[in-house]
Amino acid sequence: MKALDVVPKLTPAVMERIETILANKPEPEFDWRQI
Amino acid sequence: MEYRRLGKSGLELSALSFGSWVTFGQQIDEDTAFACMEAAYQAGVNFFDNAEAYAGGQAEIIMGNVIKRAGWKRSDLVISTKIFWGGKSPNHSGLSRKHLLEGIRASLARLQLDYVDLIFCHRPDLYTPIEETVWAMHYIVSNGLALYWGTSEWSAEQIRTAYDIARREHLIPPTMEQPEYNMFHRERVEKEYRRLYDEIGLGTTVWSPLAGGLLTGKYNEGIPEGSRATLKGYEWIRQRIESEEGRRNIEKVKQLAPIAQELGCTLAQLALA
Repeated sequence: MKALDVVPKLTPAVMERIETILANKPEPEFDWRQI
Repeated sequence: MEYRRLGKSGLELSALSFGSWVTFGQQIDEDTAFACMEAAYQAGVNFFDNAEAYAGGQAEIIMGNVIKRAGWKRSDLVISTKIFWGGKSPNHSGLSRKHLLEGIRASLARLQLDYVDLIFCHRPDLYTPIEETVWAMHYIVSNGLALYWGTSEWSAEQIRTAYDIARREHLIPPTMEQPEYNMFHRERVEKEYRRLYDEIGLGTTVWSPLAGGLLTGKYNEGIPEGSRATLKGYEWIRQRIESEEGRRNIEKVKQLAPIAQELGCTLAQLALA
């Protein structure tokens, strides 16, 4: 249950480190309006 | 405990739930199951997950006995089951009207309950029209055998098809999907279903949030004796861990360990968070 207390500790900086290790973040759909 | 609504439904589930797959009926006896469920209940868990396939129905029997023994109020619990794999004979598996009706009645008998809160189509069925499944689920919910219905490991297109049929025929649409979701398995929840959350109000419950234990770090130094990877009938878990991809994932788990340490939590807690 302590996992719920960890959620607020997952700051953007921490998430970035995790994403770098996992290297599997799904690509968002391409936004054609950006062209 | 934090409680969240299941999609756009009015049902509130604990953010963390209790699953019975692999362990119930195969690794632990009823006394241990009782102790585990009691601990979860005391911590505020209200959602207890099951399926007709788990240990060939044994997991439901154990859970039903535990609920009875604990004497919890039915209204404090959200119990699920899943129908698909009920046996090898014709009409004992899949999502036909016949198996869904016979399956849920058999599950309820094993659980010693009048209804489950959630019923899942445990997988998509190649041989039954989705329309037949939607009508059968509508019957099951309308007749109070289950309160909400959903799917598990259906594609976004299959879920959308079921939803559209239900809307067109004025039937009860699916409420939720239970996909595998964990740090190593993200595509469906984070991408494929993305539009369904807003457009049909799809709710999710997930399976394998710890990637079968890989994310706890317990397999970092090889497969320990007594772990589920050593169980008969679960050789595929061992193969998954020992595969090229499994080894790559274990390397990632090792790299995550220092982050967990800095945050003052275990790897399992980090993975769930």
